[in-house]
Amino acid sequence: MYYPVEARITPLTAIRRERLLPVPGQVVVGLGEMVGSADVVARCQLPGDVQVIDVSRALGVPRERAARYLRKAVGEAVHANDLLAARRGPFGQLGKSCRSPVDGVITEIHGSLILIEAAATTLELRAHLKGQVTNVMPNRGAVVSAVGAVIQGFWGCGGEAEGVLKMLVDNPQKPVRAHAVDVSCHGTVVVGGCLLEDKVLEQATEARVRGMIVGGINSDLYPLLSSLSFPVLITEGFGAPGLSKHVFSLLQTNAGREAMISTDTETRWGAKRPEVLIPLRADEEIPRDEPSSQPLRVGDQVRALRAPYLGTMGTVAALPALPKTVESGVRLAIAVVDLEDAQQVQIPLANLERIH
Amino acid sequence: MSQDFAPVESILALDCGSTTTQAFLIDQVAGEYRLVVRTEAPSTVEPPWNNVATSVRQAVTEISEITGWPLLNERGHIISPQRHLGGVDAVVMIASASNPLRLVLAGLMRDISLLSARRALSTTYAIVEGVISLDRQDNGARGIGGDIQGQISLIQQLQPDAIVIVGGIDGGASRAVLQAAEAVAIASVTMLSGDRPPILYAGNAHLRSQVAEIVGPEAELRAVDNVRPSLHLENLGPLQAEAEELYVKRKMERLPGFATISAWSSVSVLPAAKAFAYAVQYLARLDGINVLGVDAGGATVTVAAVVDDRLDLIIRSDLGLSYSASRLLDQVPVESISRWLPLEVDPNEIRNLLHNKTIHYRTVPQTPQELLIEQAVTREMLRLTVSDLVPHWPQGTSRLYPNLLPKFHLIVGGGGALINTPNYGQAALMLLDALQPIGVAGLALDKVRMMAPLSAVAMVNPAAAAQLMERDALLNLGTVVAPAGIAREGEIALTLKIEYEDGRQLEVEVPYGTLEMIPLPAGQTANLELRPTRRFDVGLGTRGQAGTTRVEGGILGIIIDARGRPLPISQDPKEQRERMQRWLWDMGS
Repeated sequence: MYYPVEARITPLTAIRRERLLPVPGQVVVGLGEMVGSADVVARCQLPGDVQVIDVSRALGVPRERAARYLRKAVGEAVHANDLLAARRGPFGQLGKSCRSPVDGVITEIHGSLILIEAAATTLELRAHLKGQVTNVMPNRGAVVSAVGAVIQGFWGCGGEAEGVLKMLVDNPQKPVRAHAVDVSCHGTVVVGGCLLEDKVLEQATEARVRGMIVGGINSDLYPLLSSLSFPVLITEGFGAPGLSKHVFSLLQTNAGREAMISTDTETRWGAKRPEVLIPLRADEEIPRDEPSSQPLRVGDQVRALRAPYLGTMGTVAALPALPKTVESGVRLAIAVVDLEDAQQVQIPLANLERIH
Repeated sequence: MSQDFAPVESILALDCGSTTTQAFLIDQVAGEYRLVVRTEAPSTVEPPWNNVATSVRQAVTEISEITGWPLLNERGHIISPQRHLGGVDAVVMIASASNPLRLVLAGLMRDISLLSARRALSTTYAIVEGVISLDRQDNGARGIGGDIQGQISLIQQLQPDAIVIVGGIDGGASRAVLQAAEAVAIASVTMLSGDRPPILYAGNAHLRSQVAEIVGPEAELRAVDNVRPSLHLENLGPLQAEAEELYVKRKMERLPGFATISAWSSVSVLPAAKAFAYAVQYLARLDGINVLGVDAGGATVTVAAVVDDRLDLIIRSDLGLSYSASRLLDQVPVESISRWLPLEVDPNEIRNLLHNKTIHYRTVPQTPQELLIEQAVTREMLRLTVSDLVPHWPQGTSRLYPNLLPKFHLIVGGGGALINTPNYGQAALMLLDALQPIGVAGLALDKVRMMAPLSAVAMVNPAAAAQLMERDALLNLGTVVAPAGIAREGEIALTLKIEYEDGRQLEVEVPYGTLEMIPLPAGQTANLELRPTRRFDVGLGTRGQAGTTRVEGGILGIIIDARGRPLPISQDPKEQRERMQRWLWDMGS
């Protein structure tokens, strides 16, 4: 028995996404309300950064004598450039002084150190899914539900974005070329087979794309991704030659529709996968797919997670009871998989994820 | 007065690892304790399961399916003690599935106590993520200098599980230690009360009350004896014990599902690295020898060594072939990995593999190239971990050369990359390349990953653990003879004469730069007469000194590693690839 990891790649399912504030705040939508992906569902105040001012260093006095020069007390509000502490010169004139670098409140005075908490900022949490509010958690957030396509990917960075899906390639294995990213990509989520050149990222920045979806990228582009103004979502893996056929056809079918991409990726606790959500209309009620937590079975749809079949999808044809020797020469528990291109291959169980 | 203890005959040993959960059923077979069956399941600590008990039950259920002997009752709990229709007498468990402690270390500039603290913390599953010292950088962790705003931001940003303050010998420096305490205290104040990490103080003991005053009641302060009470004295024990307790209480015991499984266990659950170290110590004491154990695991690399009766343990929780795989790229250039490859590989392919492995960390290499890359990564991880220990072994009879390993009589390797190889020559070569042992040493593999669990078994039945260690735990690869020294390629390094048990004799001249394998089956012994040339030392402390020894055979027989020490690595990538090809070929791969 082998219990595989699972990913959702489906053309139509019931989607339910929790939108939670990082700290308690105010939920501004009601149960049953219809929301657009850019609508605010909740907001909260995020505490500002804490600034520390060392009075003894600024005034050039011993730490234990710093308190006598203070002009402000704990709890007082201060504005940028307000006088916090000062020395008098020999004739009573103002000598060395220190001033607040920010607007905020003095939260603590610790010896000669003054802590100023900068003014709080407001965080507005958006729905990030066009749908209906199906649960409200007071002060914490809401659940937005919809029906649509879901594609869980491999890795991503750059946060969340929404935009109309635009295909830049007509083949899942085709790399995105810089010339394909033009002004028509403005405000869209662009899709390509794979990403090989940094010029594409430059063009995409210039064209102000909202996001990018590719099957794979080369690791040498990895350092550039964190500084981009838009999120990038990789569906198959680093070095993958393209999108899997199934993912490509799902994206192609929905080209021109609005898609939401979320690139948060966590590998362990509270594991999160990056995903593409495409809200759709459905005439009948669609049941919600739950992770099966069942052992891998013949007939399950799977995706290969490593070379030589990285990103390829197929169906489990057999699960031999005994380990087999694979290309590397190591004996491993394997599954026989019928790939999308009708090839039948052996893939180690550990290199498969179930698609549902 | 006699005591009535129920005899413990059948034992279920569980090993909850970060990627794999294993179950071992141990019972008496023909009057001896033997491993009856071993099963494994992918660990289920993450979503959608969020419960380590799930993979334990999966592995235990598989044992029942194989043996036909029920171990779980209808509610999924273990049947213990053993009854007529199922169950076991005892359950024991080791665990390494939790995340490591994330620590910030605060201390003095260029202070030797920071190094001592790192050594103390390296015996626990912990990662020093940041350092507050007057040094800007500290061994790869993010370091911040004397800027208090930076120190506070670092702590706020990292949100560590604990902050360790060290510094000053007892009665020595105070100002900088108190400054560090002040920065830590202020950073704590800026966090929400539930998020404030505990503070471990292991610095100048005379400052404890002042540090307590600075920290105040806002944060939990745990003061232990100074890790460096004087310039010439290191006192790692108290900080080690405190950090381990913190790991057990805040990480291991909070593992989802841990409470269910640990309730089955007859004895306390051991952290897996500790259990591995105990097993190495047992092997060393059994024959009064020096033993080196290395485990290249998924989430950590563990090295335990007993040299002249002293046990050293080092856990690198930032290295491993699973979800921390890509961290290696922060520590070494990609060329340090590719130098261990026998074929030309685009550096991007190595980076791609490591990044992919970090996300899909359970995956295994299917192609020969990916297998060789993982083996190269394993060499580099082992090399890095052992190099942390090398400077700290005291000079003595076993330590012949300052930059090389001390003399070990037995080297045991474990972990997925070492045991999942197409042939044992590859496993042996990984150990020889990464560790570079000198002299004459036995080589073995923890093939069924039972070494560490046996330490837990020993807590309920020492005789069973001893019998299993001897019969089922280790796979004897053979004996390696590795002369230290360098010469010109092709020059004779060593002449050896082998006398087999049946009286046959064989004399071999081994040129420098080569690896030779001489058959000597497992279970047989032979007398070896070693005559190194004047540039080489076979572990006797003097170059050119001849000696005789009795060696045991194994699957690979006797390996003569005449490549010299330190191992010559060519700066020319093409030449180095050719060497790797030749070395793999020599080892039968």
